[in-house]
Amino acid sequence: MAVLSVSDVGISFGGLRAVDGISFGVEPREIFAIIGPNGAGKTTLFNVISRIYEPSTGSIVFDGRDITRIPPHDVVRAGIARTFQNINLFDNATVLDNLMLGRYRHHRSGVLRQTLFTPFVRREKLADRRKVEEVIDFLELGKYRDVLVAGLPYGVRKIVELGRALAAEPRLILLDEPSSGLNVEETRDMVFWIQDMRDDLDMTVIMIEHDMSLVSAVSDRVLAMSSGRMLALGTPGEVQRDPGVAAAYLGG
Amino acid sequence: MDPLIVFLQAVVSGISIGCIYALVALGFVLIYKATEVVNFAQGELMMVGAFFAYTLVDLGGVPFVPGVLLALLATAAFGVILNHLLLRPLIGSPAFTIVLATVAVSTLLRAVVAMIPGWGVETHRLSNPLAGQVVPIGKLVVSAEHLMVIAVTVVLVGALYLFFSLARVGVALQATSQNQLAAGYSGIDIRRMFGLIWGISAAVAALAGVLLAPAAFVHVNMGYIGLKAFPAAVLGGFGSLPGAVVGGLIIGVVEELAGLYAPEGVKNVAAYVVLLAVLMVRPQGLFGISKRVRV
Repeated sequence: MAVLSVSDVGISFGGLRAVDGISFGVEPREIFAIIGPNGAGKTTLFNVISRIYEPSTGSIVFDGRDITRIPPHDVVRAGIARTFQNINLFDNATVLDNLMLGRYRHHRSGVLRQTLFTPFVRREKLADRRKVEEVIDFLELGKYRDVLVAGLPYGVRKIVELGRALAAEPRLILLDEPSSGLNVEETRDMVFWIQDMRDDLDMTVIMIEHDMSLVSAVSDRVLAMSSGRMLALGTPGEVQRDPGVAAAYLGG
Repeated sequence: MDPLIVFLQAVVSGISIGCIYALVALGFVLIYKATEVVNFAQGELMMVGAFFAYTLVDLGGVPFVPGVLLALLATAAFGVILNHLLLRPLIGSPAFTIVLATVAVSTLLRAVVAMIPGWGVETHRLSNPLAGQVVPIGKLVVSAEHLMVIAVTVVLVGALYLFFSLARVGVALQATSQNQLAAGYSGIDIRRMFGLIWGISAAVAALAGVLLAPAAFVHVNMGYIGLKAFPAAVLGGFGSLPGAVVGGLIIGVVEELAGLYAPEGVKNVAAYVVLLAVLMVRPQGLFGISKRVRV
């Protein structure tokens, strides 16, 4: 059974149909890529799934639960984490603190217990720290642990943002252009990490990506979009051979 | 009298009034950091807090300390309600609209307070257990009220520091102030955080009102002290909590010294002169971080 089902989702801004009649299902432990030319509505679709935008039509069901109308801060509690195309981190905090905030959804202690710093809070904090250290090891961020995010190079910040999403231990992770701005070596690392997220961390991955070599290397299925609509859905090979997809990219 | 003693006396009372500027400035900065709104009703929240304390302690007969604590709680609740009724519906509007709404709130609060029987436009005295007592420190004679203002400010700033660095809610507030989008997707309920910050900020303002009352009485226009606290916040860099405190202290001390040594009238403009001088050298304020916006 699909872990995420998107049914007939559409959204308009004024008269513009930014996303129109999109339906697909993503299986557990699948790596699912969304491709398309600029302005195709890929990020808008991500923003609808993660509840920044209110869809005008359709529904989104995650893990058997309708999440079409939940508030944005409940998205991560439901088990969906995401990264952003233009990196959203807490710039004046260290890498460690950024990852620790990724653990926020797992906290159970209330304000009173927090203030008194009871043993329960202590244990919770220790468990968080252990999980965060696992993520730091996984992404090889050790040498940046105590560095302020604002001073880090773009490629590293991108990985820190991925780390914060992983620290939340989501079942589904949404990656918006994971390879943009990365150099060749960093992109190769990204391929391995995405595969490990599925193989070792049991996650389902949906990513928006322009780099077709990365898409072909890791994705099980690809959804191609253009002008808010679905062009093709299938294996990377099938989608690449689709005449409509080629036409959309070449402006035909 | 020894000129050094005169100087030190002025410095102590400057620090004391500076603490009150600092508390009001902290209120400005807290709300601005978390919500990117400059709340021009901050001085009026302070006034409302002082009236709550006056009503409980002097009209209601509640002992001073519990009365003041109740007044702080009541003002915090008032801040939360204000945010809920007036500012939450404006989320997503241009910043200018929201700032003007706070200006409207400040005018409205002054008008409403003036209409309430027992409050009105008269000057009230908030009774205070330390009234008239003095503490000699060497050759200095310091009023107990001044010492209380300084002590309470130190304790409050310390408590706020611990809250923001240790408590989970405090950390969540910090995260919200740095990046709302990222905070939301880490599972932080931003609307709840906005309510909370308005509550804290209103309580801090109320405390400033109670501390100011012995020196300036409780009056419908006492909120105009915000006009002095605002430069204090700007001086400190506006986004910085320690900056607000240091800015408040500098303005308080400069004012007192100007009153002592400079010609009549300079005292009233001293805050703005200092502000202009500092901004010419450091446009981002003393503790501000200069941000370059990439275009």
